[in-house]
Amino acid sequence: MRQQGWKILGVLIVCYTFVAGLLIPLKPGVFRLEPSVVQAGDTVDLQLEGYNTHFLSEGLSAWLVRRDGRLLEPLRMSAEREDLLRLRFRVPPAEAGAPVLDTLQLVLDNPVDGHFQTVLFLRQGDAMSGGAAGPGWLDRSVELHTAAGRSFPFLNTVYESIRNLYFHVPMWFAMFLLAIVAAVRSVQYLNSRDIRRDQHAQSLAGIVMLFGGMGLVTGAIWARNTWGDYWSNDPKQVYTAVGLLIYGAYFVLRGSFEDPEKRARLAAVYNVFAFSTLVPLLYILPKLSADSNHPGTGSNIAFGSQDLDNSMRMVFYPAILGWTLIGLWMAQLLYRFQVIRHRLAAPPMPR
Amino acid sequence: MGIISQTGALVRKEFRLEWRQRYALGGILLYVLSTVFIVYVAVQRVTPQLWNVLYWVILLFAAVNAVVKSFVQESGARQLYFYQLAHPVAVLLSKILYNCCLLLALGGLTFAAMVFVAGNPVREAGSFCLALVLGSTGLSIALTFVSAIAAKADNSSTLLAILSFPAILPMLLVLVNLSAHAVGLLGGSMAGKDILLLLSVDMILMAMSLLLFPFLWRD
Repeated sequence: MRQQGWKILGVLIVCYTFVAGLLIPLKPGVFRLEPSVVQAGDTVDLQLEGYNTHFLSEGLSAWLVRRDGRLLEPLRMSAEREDLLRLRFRVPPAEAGAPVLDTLQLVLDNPVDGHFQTVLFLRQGDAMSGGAAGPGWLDRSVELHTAAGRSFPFLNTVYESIRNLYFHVPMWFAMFLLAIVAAVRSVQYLNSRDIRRDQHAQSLAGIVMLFGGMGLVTGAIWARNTWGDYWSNDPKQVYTAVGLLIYGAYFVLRGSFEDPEKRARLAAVYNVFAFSTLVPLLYILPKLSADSNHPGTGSNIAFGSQDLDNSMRMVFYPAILGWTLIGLWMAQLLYRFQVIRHRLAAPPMPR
Repeated sequence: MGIISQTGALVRKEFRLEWRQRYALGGILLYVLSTVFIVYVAVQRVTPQLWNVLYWVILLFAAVNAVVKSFVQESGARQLYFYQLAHPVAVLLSKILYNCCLLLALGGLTFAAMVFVAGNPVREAGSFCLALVLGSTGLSIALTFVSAIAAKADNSSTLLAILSFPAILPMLLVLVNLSAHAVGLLGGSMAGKDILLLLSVDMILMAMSLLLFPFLWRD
């Protein structure tokens, strides 16, 4: 029982990943806002589609907030559905020396959802000065609510698919960790000439290919929905593909030899050699990733800083551990299966 | 005799052997020339970017064809004789050195052929030469070592391509990048980083080859 602990742990963690990763709701956010540009000095009607929002609940308020923190209250606000809100603002005329184009935050707040915001543009270039007189930008602070309970961040274009983070990214981590274990097993084989070490490495390599393939497939589906293409020649896609090629070549190499000792030795040598060429790729990767679509590179938002918030970390880090443990277990089962098949195939011992 | 003098003697043996059976050299020469010609006929207008990519692809395949025979051409018994006569590492080193010279010559030849049919887009000759030197060093190390593995099997030429491409790909990405600098496609001061990266990849490959070869040669 004591030796099975890590398997139970792996299964529990993966179950937790599924339950928490799929059930925790997304934060409320603004799905669509029309128009997205307002003209200074105009009266504008904004139509807002929310996601996971509760516009009909009591205590909803909205403000347009300038960069300097001054804000504007709406003239009229009417919620038609929980996720559809109409707002009317009278935007004050541009002040002298204001930039032609500026950004505004539309901040929404209610006790159920807490506060959330979206960006829109303020054009104050060719403003007819002296428009309708109305209340100007107010210089006061407001109290905002904070939502209770756990939720995942709301990101535009990603939306609910953010949950794929717990399944796609750990595949890659687990693949690399298992590849390290496989390389270590190959080194151990070369040192000890214990055929079991090589069989370990072979089973691990099989699981590495499985995880790499799963990572590619989950990533391709995710990329189709957020970037528009299944394959966009992203450095990280290339990297995983190279990893898969290496282990594919490893199995082709194994298949070319009949003699078990020779096969084990050459496969172990190739595994270590190819793995050591994979490592520089890790250093090449950040260099190439200036044009990567993956988060945390170039101008893309990083999961590490603002988007991987604490509620996501609570699922993401255990997911890596859980999938790695499951991978080790799968490799162990594969190893045993191969040992049994080997014994069955071998001629019976003469009595 | 130390490893270095043994290596020297073995390299001389390689050159002499190659010179005696010139048809192998001629075959590679024809391979490069005909590939370049096919590329020219098929593409007609070669932009600098295309030139850069085609150059390395042609060189890669020529290199695989040139290196594949390094461990296959000698019978197992003769190889065993060499391993008894000299240190096994000296045998590997001599093949790597010889292949490095061969690939440098091939690179120069491919360059000349490409310039002849498609013009010369190289602006910074220095960094292009450096890419060629570091590239042929790295290619010869990786291909020689993998050909030593592949030579143990029957279908060694197919196996060499399958086994070596994943191992070479990271290096090739940097090579294409570095020569893109030389061709003037990429600006900035990234070239120094690329050179360092190539140097370190070459060194890792060399270290791994030397470490792993003792497990490889003895059957």
